[in-house]
Amino acid sequence: MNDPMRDQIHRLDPMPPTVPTIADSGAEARQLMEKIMATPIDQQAQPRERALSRRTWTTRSVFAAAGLVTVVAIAAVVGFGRVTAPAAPTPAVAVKLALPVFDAAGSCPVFDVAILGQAPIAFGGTVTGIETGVVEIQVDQWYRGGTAGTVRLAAPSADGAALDGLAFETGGRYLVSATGGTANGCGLSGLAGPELQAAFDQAFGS
Amino acid sequence: MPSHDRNDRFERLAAEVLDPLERYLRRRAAPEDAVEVLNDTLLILWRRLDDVPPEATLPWCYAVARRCLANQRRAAGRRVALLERARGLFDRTGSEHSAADGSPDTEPLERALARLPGAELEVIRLWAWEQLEPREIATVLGVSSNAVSIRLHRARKRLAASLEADGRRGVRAGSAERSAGHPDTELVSTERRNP
Repeated sequence: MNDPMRDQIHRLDPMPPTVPTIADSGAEARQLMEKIMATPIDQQAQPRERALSRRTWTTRSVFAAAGLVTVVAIAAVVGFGRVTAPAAPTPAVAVKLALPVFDAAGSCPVFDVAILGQAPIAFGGTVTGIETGVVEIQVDQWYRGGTAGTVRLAAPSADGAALDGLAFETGGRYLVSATGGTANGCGLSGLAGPELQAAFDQAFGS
Repeated sequence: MPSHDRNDRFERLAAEVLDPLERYLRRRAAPEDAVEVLNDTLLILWRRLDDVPPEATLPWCYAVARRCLANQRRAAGRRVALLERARGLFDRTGSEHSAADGSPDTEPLERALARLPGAELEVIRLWAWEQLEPREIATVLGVSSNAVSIRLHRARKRLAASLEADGRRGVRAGSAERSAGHPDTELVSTERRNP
């Protein structure tokens, strides 16, 4: 290590190599591996788990483009095609989207603006309320896929409204992309920091 | 894949990631939770052997472990955010094992780390404790390498500023202690506060 700051922080590591782990005990590690390998590979679980793998992003987009989008529009949502300029929101209408199921088994693809750019729905707005698992967002900018003034994001369970495991904050401004009627996690939606804002601007050409 | 090939491959991968994975989890969770999530993570590795990217095996496993850990907390009804726990690890009372010896040398850095925003803190931890490079951290967090580099840069600047401010306060406190009981100095000081 040649970086003094990295070196200093490394010295605060609560689990330095001197602390023993299961791997240090050959018998315990062996027992653990045997137990795992004795577990049947769940054929049903694999497709679900793979639903978030990088290969399926393209597939999801194709499904969405093919009209399998399950967005429930309380009022109008205009086309899912790419728009060349951000659309101004129409205050009178609202759109309902689902929040993704938090899947611990799913791994995220490496963030890529090109993947973000495939989302048929994208907008930015401020959380105005969170109630019984529904997050209401006042849209201030549509990048693609709608003109509604309000979007309601519904949590899949009573666990609470969260994205990538992080709860929504009232008053926070979020950038949200969605595919197949469900908001995208894995960093493709989130609090509108400068990095995500730049990614949305690049992906949707604003 | 024939079952013996699958077993061989899993054993090779597990032998490679078992130790760093357990350390990763025990840095962020109580020991009993860490062991439970380690099991879950290995089980997913076993089921998804074909999906493991050979060029990023360990970051991929960290990403799975990170989600398992968050999921476990949600399932248990514990609303303690992952990053809040991470922040707590810099408090000596909150850590399972503390490498910090409580010396004045480490305290300012611990305080500075505890003041970092959550997202930057996690990047710093992955960088300094897991010894990952930005592109690997990006895989763990599911963000771009560029975003990681920016967060890392900001975190370092923030840490440096905190340490500098801490140092200045230390110097002022030292001066105040030295000047205590020195009437002339105290008078000057009071006049300056209340012109």
